[in-house]
Amino acid sequence: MDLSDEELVARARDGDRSAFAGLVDRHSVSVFNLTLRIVGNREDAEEAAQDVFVRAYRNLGRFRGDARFSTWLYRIAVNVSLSSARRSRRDLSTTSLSGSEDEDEGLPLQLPDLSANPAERFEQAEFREQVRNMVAALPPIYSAVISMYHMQSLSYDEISEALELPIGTVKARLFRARAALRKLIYRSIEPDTLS
Amino acid sequence: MNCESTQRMLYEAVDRALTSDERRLVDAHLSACERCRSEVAVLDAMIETVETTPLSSPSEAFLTNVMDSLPAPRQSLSVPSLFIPRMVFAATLAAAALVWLYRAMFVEIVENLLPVQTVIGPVTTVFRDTQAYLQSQAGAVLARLPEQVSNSVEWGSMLLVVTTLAVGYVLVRTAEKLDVGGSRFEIGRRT
Ligand SMILES: [Zn+2]
Repeated sequence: MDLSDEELVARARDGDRSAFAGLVDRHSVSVFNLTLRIVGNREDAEEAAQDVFVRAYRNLGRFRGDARFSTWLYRIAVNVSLSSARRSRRDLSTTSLSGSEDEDEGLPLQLPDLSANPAERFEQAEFREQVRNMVAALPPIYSAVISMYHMQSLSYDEISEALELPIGTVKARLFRARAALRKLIYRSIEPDTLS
Repeated sequence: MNCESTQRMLYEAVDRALTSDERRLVDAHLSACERCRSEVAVLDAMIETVETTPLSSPSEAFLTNVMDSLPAPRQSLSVPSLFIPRMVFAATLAAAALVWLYRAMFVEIVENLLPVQTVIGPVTTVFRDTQAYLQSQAGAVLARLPEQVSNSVEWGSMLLVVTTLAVGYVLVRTAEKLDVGGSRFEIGRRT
């Protein structure tokens, strides 16, 4: 059976739990990857993703179908994982990698002249993995936009709906998020290049 | 063009195509500046790395865990669950309408129930005052109607019943719109 999301939602709303299971099955990977990139660890991310679907189920009656179901789900996912990230990051003492939201996230312009070519570092699988993990070390809202735009390939429209922000603001956040990620990468390269 | 505006354009170029003029300016700067060339390479590698992040899967128990934590199915707010409250509501309205229609008889019954005819306590006073007030209000409304209508007992009663039913209908529809039993869903955005 290849029912559309909307048909499954309609059935789930009428009390068909297997229809809802179909929706969970279909969207669990994308929701989990979104929560994972914002929350930063598997355990909390899975708990957050679970919470997302439970909330979605409770609020199925409020899903009006003016947005795509997936976008609606992302909206819940972003909210759940932003608060989860804020909770857990407040618990942790700030690590050297985690930027604060107040921090000036300008472009990394004051780069010293590097003798080594930093782009070469990306050839190492380990470094690439490190960079991917840095996405979750960004301020949560930046993790969210980078994850949605660059990992989940959502459009500006969809991100703007999911975050309930105007498109212009989404673009500005993305711009700053990339600059912030670039800064983290620079900081991780610096010790090596200076030694 | 300096390094700063070149790099700003480089970051913008991730999202939007540069105009041919901008492209020319950026290219001119890049051909002369090694540091910005290196920045282009890092930016490209960074975006490419992020975009090729492999998807992770949640644990195998995920679906089961979700389904187990769903709230028990509650009655939907469709016709069956509202049937009884609706009937009770309608019956109450009908009873109220009957009491009003036969108010004279009820006043008589209440008065006959009183042990001594002359004792008029605060309750009966309030009852009479309220009744007089309502009657005067109703009279004011009826006075606006054509004489033929306001003078006829049948018309008056019918108007009363129709009005009661209309008010009841509006109340029932309003009650249906209220989300009974549903948890409020808030997209909490903290700043
Ligand atoms: Zn330059």
